[in-house]
Amino acid sequence: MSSNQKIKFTVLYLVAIVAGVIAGTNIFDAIAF
Amino acid sequence: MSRGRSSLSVTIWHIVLLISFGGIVAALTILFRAMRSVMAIGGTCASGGPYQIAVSCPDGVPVLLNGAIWGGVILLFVALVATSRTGAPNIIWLLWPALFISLGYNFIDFGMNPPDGSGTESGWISCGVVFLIMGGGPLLFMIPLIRDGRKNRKRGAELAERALTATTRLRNAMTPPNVNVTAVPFRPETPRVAPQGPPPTIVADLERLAALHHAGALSASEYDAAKRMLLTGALS
Repeated sequence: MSSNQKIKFTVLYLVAIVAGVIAGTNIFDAIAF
Repeated sequence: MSRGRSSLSVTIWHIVLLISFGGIVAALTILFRAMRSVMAIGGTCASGGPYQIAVSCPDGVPVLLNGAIWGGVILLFVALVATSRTGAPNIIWLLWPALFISLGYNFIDFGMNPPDGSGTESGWISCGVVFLIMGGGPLLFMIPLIRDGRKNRKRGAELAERALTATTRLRNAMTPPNVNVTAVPFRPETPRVAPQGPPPTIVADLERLAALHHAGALSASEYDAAKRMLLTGALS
């Protein structure tokens, strides 16, 4: 795996993690409270 | 056309991986928050059914818990497929430690500070310890394996490079030199004879000059000048 691909997938996973945490928090706040 | 379609397909699978992995993280976040909301009211709750409920669950939490669990499982399979299609490094296994360590943290946190304010809750703390072991154990177990895997991959790449080099050398040694006969036009050899001494006519002229000089017809200076002119004209 080239360094470009490593950077690409690292960014992809980081974006997914940050977006997932934000989305999960907002969904919980919208439905549970 | 097919190359463009293939590139589009890979791009779509990248988007699928982004959405599915993000969805799993969202499911874990919802589980984490839902567990805390239940523990904040004593750790047990119920909703629906024909029975009298002592502690009702917070609004929306049962739906969120079911949705997060089943949605997370479905998205897990989608993310696994997307990982293989895109060639992305597989970090899906990290979701196991993430799940158990985050929920174990909830147990420890509420065990140390229970909602009823009664000191510590040893039952929750022990649950937290078990969860932390379940989450952290595979993490500690996997790190040396990943390190060894990287070493093995590096070693394998070196061996493959050496094997490729040796194969190339062997092939070059066994292949006869490629002589393209048709590319070389046939040219008959023409004998080249280097001129040895002056041409015969000059020799005769020099002999005649010398005879005249010996006969006294030419002085020494006239003979030298004539000989120089003859040699210079013959060699130029």
